[in-house]
Amino acid sequence: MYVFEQFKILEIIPINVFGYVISFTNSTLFMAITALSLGLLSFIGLKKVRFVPGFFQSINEIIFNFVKGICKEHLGKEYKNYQPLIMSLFLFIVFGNLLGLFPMSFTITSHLSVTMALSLIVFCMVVFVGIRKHGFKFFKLFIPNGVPLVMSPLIFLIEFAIFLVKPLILSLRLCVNMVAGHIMLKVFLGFAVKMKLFSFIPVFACSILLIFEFFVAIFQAYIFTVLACISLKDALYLH
Amino acid sequence: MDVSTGKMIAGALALLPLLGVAYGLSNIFSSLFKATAQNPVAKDSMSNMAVIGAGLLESVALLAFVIAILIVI
Repeated sequence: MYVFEQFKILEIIPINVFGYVISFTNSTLFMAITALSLGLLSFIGLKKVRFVPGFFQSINEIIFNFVKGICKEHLGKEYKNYQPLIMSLFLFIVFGNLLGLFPMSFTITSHLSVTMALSLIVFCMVVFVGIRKHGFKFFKLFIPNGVPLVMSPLIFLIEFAIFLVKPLILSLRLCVNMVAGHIMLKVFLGFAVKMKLFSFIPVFACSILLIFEFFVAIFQAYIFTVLACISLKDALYLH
Repeated sequence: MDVSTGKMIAGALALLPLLGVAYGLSNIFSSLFKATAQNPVAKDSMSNMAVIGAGLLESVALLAFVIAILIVI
C-alpha cells in the first residue's frame, strides 16, 4: 500500500557484524539529526548566558520551566534528581515528532521499537528507584491500602500485570498516534492526485491537518512525560 | 460473500469503539465547562487534567483505527 511507504526503513550504509545487521539506516540518520539539533539549540542558547535573555536563551528557558513545572507538580520535593531524564525524554520525543512533519522525512517515533526503548528506560528507572529507596517494601506498591487480606493475592496479581503492561501501552500510544496522523496526511494527498481539477480542496484540508499534527506532536510528548512522571511518583512515594 | 467484502465489513465493525470514545470526550469536556463556570479560579489545573484524559481516550480510538487497518490489508 502506498500509505505505508513513508515508514519503510532504508539502509544508507550497510554494516554487518557477525550476522547482525547494524546498518546506518534513515532512522539512525534522523535520530542523529534530532540529537544534533537539540545540541545546537542548547549550545547557541547557553553559549553566553545573559541576565536579560536573548531569543535562543529564552526558548531554552521556556522549555526548562515547562518541564520543571511538570516535574514539580508530580514528583514533589525530589524533582531535581529526575528532571534531566524527563527533560531529555521530552525534548527527544518533541524533536523526533516535529522533524517527521517535514516533507520527504522519516518519523523516528513511528516505529514501535524506538518508543518501546524510550518507555523501557522509564520502566527500568522506576524499578531501580523504587527498589533502591524502599528495598523489599517496594512490593507494597502492588497492594493498595485498605484491601482485605483474603483478596490481596488476587489484587497483587492484577496490579502486577498492570505494572508490566504500562510501558507497552505508553509506547503504543505515542507510536500509534504518529502512524495514524501520517497515514491520514498521506490519504488526503492521495485524494489530491485523483481529483485532478479540484485538487486544491484536499491540499487545503491537508494543510489544516498539518497544523493539527503539529499540535499532536507536542501534546503526545507532553502526555508521555506526564505518564512517566506519574509512574515515577508511584514508585517514589508508594501511594 | 467474497473474502474482501467480509474484510471491509470487519474493518468497519472494528471502528465501533469510536462511539464510546465520542461519548467519553463529550462527557469530559461538558463537565469541564460546567466546572469552569462554577469555579473559574481552578480553570488551569482542571483543564490540564481534562486534556490528559482526552489524550488517554484518543489513544483508544487510534488503536481501533490501527486494528481496522490491519484487518483490511
